[in-house]
Amino acid sequence: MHPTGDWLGPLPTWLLLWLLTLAAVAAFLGRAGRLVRLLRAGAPDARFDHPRERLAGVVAEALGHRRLLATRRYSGLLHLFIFWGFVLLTVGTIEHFLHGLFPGARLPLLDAWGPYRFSQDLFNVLVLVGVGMALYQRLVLRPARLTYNADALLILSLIGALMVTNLLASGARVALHPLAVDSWLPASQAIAGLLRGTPPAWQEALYRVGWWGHVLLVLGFLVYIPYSKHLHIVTAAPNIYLRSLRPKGDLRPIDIEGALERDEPVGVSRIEQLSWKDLLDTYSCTECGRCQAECPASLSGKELSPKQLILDLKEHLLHDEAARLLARRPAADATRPSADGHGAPGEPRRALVGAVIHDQVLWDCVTCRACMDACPVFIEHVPKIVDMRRHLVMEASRIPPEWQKLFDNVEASGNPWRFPRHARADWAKGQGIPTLAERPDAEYIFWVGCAGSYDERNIKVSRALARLLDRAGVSYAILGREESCTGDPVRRVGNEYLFQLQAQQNIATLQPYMPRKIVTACPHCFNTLGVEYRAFGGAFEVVHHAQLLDRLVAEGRLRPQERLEATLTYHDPCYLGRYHDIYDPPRRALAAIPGVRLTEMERHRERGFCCGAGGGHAFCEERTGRRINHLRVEQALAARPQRVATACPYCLMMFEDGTRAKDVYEALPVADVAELLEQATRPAEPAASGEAAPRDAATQESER
Amino acid sequence: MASGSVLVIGEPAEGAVAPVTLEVLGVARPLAQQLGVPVAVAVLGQDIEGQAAELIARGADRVYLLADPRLAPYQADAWVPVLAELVRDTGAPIVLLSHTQTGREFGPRLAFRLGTGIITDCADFQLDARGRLRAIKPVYGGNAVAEYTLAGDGVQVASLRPKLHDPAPAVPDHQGEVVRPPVRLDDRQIRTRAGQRVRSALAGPDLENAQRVVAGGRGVGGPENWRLLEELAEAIGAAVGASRAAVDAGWVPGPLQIGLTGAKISPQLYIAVGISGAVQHMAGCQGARTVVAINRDPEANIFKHAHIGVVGNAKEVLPALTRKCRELTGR
Amino acid sequence: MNIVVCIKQVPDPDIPPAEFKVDEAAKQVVPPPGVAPVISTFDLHAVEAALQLKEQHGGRVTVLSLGGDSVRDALKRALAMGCDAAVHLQDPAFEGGDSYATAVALAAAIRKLGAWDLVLTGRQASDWDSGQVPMALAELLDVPGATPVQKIEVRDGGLVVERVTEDGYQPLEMPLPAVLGISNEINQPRYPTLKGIMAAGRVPIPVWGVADLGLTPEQVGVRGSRLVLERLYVPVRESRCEFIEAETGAEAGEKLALRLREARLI
Repeated sequence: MHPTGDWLGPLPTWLLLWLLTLAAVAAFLGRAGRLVRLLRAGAPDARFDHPRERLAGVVAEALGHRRLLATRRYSGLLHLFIFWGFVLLTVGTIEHFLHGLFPGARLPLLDAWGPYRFSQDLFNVLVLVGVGMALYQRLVLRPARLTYNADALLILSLIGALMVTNLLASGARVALHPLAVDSWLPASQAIAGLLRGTPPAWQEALYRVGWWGHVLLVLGFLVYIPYSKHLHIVTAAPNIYLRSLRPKGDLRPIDIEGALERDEPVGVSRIEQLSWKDLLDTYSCTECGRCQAECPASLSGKELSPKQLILDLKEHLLHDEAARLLARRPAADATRPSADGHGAPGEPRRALVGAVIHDQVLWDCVTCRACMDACPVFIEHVPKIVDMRRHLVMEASRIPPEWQKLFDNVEASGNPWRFPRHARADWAKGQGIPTLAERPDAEYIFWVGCAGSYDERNIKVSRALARLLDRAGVSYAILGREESCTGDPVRRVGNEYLFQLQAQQNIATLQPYMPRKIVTACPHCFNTLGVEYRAFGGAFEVVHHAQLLDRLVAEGRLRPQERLEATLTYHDPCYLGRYHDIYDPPRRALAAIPGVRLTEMERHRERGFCCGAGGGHAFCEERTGRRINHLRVEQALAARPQRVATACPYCLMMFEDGTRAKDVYEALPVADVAELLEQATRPAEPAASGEAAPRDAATQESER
Repeated sequence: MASGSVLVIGEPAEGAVAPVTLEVLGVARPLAQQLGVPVAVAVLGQDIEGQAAELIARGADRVYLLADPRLAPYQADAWVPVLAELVRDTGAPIVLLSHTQTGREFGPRLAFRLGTGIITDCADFQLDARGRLRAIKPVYGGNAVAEYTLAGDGVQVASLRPKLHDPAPAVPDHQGEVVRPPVRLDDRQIRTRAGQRVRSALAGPDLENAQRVVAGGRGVGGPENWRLLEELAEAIGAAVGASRAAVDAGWVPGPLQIGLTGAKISPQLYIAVGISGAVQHMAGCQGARTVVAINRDPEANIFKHAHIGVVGNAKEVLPALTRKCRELTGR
Repeated sequence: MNIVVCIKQVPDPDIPPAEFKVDEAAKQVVPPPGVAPVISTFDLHAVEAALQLKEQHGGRVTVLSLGGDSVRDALKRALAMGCDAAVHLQDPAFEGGDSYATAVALAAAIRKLGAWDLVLTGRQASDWDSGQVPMALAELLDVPGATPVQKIEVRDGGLVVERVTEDGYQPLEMPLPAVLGISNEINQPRYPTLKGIMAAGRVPIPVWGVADLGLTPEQVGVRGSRLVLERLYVPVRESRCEFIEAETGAEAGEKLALRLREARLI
């Protein structure tokens, strides 16, 4: 009853199997080769460093399904079954084919090993369970994040059929030709039990149907994989291996002058200007939509869907541009601004930026990285968006007017609102806050940032922090008028040129004062000064005020004693939380205030929801859908706190804007961690010495 | 022809005299009286006979009617040579016009054609010791004030900012003469072909003539709050305007913008909601008699220009204000 | 089309009013320290209009500006936006000139540039707000002109433009060459591309003085001016605002209504 022991017409079936197998493998390799060649059309990218760390990630995520199981566990679990089933059943598949291609051959060790056989039987069933769960999710639960297309159903059907054919063949074999090892095969035995009583000829027929059905399905699957989203079974582990190990807050710096000299692009306007790793990302997308389900833009009704972005890039690569790239035909001019729609002859039919990816999709992003942190295969959405923004800003000059104003303002006055440079330190006048000139031996430079210097609401935070540093006996000073915008917002919007001008200016300002530590109250300044400036020669030791305050409290240098009877919820700023994994210090600092009870919003810590100001959006209006900050305020209200605390000037502004808009401004006060700690550490009696008195008057002013 | 009058150039108008012409006439009369010369008004166009009576009733001692089909619709190529000849023939020492979009164009060209200069967009005029015109003009968006005279002894041309002055009052039993000088225009001088003015569908003619205006700025917060403004406007019978911030943010169309380069309004009551009061905006509403400001920021510049102020959130103040207004006025 | 754009560099009009200072003796504005001057807003729209016309009809855009050293930055910005050439008019004799005297210098420079089809400039500059230069140029160059203009089309070797009026616009047709004063409704000035910024740095900007323009000092600057600035000052504004006191916004709204009724304003 050997499945390939007979003849089909003139051909022995084992030969037929060989032919089919070789044909399928050839088709697969052909297509795979094409895909690999397309990858090589992409720009270079160094991703092969730190092999151990990379491998550890693969083990944890691909094998361990860490992200998949961290949220949306139902979906994670079903995938766990299917994935591990695939891994273990692959052995069985190899065995299956060997059996057919080399009649008489047997895998020596495994053949009769009970546990192995059991694993096959078990996973045949578990995979079916997984498929069942997946079908239920797809057909009944219908979460919005999934793509409902034929490909997905086809895949599930194929997987299901693979399992069914396996079980059928196995069960029929157990019925026809029982073996000792069959005690390890409960499922197959059960099927054999169902077949008891049927004529052996039927059982034989079922066996063949199952066996050959399985073979054909495997070969069909093999051929189909590189055309479907299921390509991820090949690319997912490599994609995870090759993930970026650079600091999360670091955007790729460009050698602008060099690029212009060499006539190279400074942004991405053609698919081949993305790196090969970016292109691999598009192959690896499983259409799971977890990114979209975390994206504040998507959730507030904007055009941007991170998933759709990646899939659009993939389609553009494989359909619009593949022929040209494989023939190595350059586009008419790699650095010319992309057309809004149709290009001229010689140009791509659809321009990547403008037609394939609408400008607005790129502008919608708040760079919060929720998408990247949710993606099970570690696709990197945000850098691609920023690179395409760079094209729009620096090459095509298609910039929303509000951001043009932002650029003009930062360039002219060193802050996003065009307040005069010389007024930058006015907030500190009469507050007893020294500049570096006045306190040359200061241990810390307090980098105030634009919001902390010019925005009325955030000036209160700056003053509160200064008070706290004084109380803790921390020696600090501010730069005063020399301070200028770090350039973070303009970099995020895509103006790398202006960013580098600001960076060079600030680094030159800071260098003479080094070595010294820098403390800042703004996570964006924290990220830019501490991480991004390194690429430009500025290696600074920067601490965020929440970290410093936490440490001061722990060391006893700050003693919160004033009770604050309130239930607080802490909003994680994206550039502190997700970007730098700083979740605990602000919470500890808040918890140290007597009377405070901390409650968490549903979306907190790694799943924190952006306030809506990132990616330059603090400086422009949202025109479609709902406002992201309104959504976040609703989320905060759902946690029923009495107050909201945060550690970022923009989160503070957006939250208060949101509470005003929702008429809960008085009901839900928002404050910075520094403000709450300052109130909690205020000296109880009026100070005896005259020196402290002005500060107390000032601290009263900082009260609501 | 008699010589030496303060000559007012009438704004192109269909049928009745344009209100801005009467504003200039109102300013010109005292100057003419001080100089001891008559005040004249030049009207150009077609079917302009009807304007003479009104102008004389408002104090014009002389009305020059220059009627010619080539003078209507207005265009600079035709108006400038005709006016230049009129000024030379009548020997007017002072020529005044309104600083409208039209006056901005032909005023300078006329002055240079006459070999003199022009002081544009003036708030007021005086005569100095020599009887020469001294113009007071806001500059730098309204941040500063400049006072100018014209060099030499020749004819002086100046344009008056609209809506800052009341129209000339009626002078009971006033008599004046009507003169119809020949219009000598060489067709070769007319290189431009002018079409009829097109009224924009969005334009708010109501805005510039309204007696009550409610305007919103950035502090309104968003397009969804704009209806609060509209409700207030409806409750008190006001036109709706906006600051540039609201227009730039896309909440309202451009023609609603009040400011230095937008609409100039001079209502009895101007309520500015969420408007910071930047000088460029204030330049558009300087003519307002009573300015009421509603703004969250007690330091906002608008409060330096306002007569009545409310420091508060528009979203809270407006509904209550509207409700109470309706109650008090029975609308 | 050969287009010439005349731009003016002015103190930044967006500074807060409290920062605005005047030196009354010198009759000059004192710009706050560290605030860079900018290209007058309407002139930016004029540059953009010129660039768009060039993109549609081909040709060349030359940008001109009269002023001191810092004007080079303004010219570079215009070059970075895409203008092909720039000329800097600089001479001590130009100083203190009014609109007319400035226009005399500009017109001489335009003639020196050679054949030209269209001159564009902003309808008025954000400093003195006088708005005379467009028509002064038209008069000096003896060509048709219009101001303020919100739309330009080139048709059959001539222009069709829309001149802004209080309640809409007036359509005009005129032959080239012509001068137009540009208003902000016409376009959105582009942000310079990186290539533009870099290329602008390398373009040589010739400097022309009085003699280069074939003029004498009497024709330009203070001596060539027709206006005499007698006085410049910042008006003192006392706050005479009557604030409505209330506990809540709603209460304030009600009190305000009563106050307005009392004043017979509603």
